[in-house]
Amino acid sequence: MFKAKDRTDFFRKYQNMWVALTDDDNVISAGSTLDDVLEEAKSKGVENPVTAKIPDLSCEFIL
Amino acid sequence: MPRFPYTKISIPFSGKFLKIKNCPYLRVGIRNKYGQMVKVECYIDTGAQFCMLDNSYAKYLGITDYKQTKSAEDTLSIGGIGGKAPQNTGYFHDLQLVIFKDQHRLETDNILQAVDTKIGFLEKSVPASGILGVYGFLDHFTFLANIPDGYFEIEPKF
Repeated sequence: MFKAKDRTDFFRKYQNMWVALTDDDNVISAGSTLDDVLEEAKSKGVENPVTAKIPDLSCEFIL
Repeated sequence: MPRFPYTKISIPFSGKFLKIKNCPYLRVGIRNKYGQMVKVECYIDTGAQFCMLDNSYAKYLGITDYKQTKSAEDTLSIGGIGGKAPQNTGYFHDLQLVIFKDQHRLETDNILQAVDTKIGFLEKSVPASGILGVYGFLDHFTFLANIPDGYFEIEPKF
């Protein structure tokens, strides 16, 4: 059975931040800007991580 | 048809009637003509007409000034439901949207489809790194949402 992915803990921890992730969801770096997280990821030897800006959970999307 | 999980986020203490958010996040590649690619977790928005990115990504795609578009037509006022338009400005550039078969292997040998399109960089920050809308994405793929069962499916149409 295919299930939704519960990412509650991740979103709570990193809300309002940028994060860099490995393809299998491990957090490489987190910070206030994309530049910061990419720079830190590079310093850890990861050149092209998955990147995401995590929204404030109190904000609802109605786009 | 490739299947992807909805991202589920519990918000039990928010005091609102909504206790669980179901969010269609999809990790994609955005590639320039020289093959440079950024990997971005994007929010699929069936109501958005365009694919948009946070402007922080521009320089990693070789775009030094994202506001410098090829023509005036590539700069658009962007508005959304719930606000006065224009709320934002999108600066569109020729890029490639890369959709992967497997969200845990964003590699070139795992591409479902790559679409040459225009992607806009937003002047003002929004609560997402990227938004996947109609032009370049939903007009190239079937998108089937099955929220009760926790997944969505995407299939290339061309």
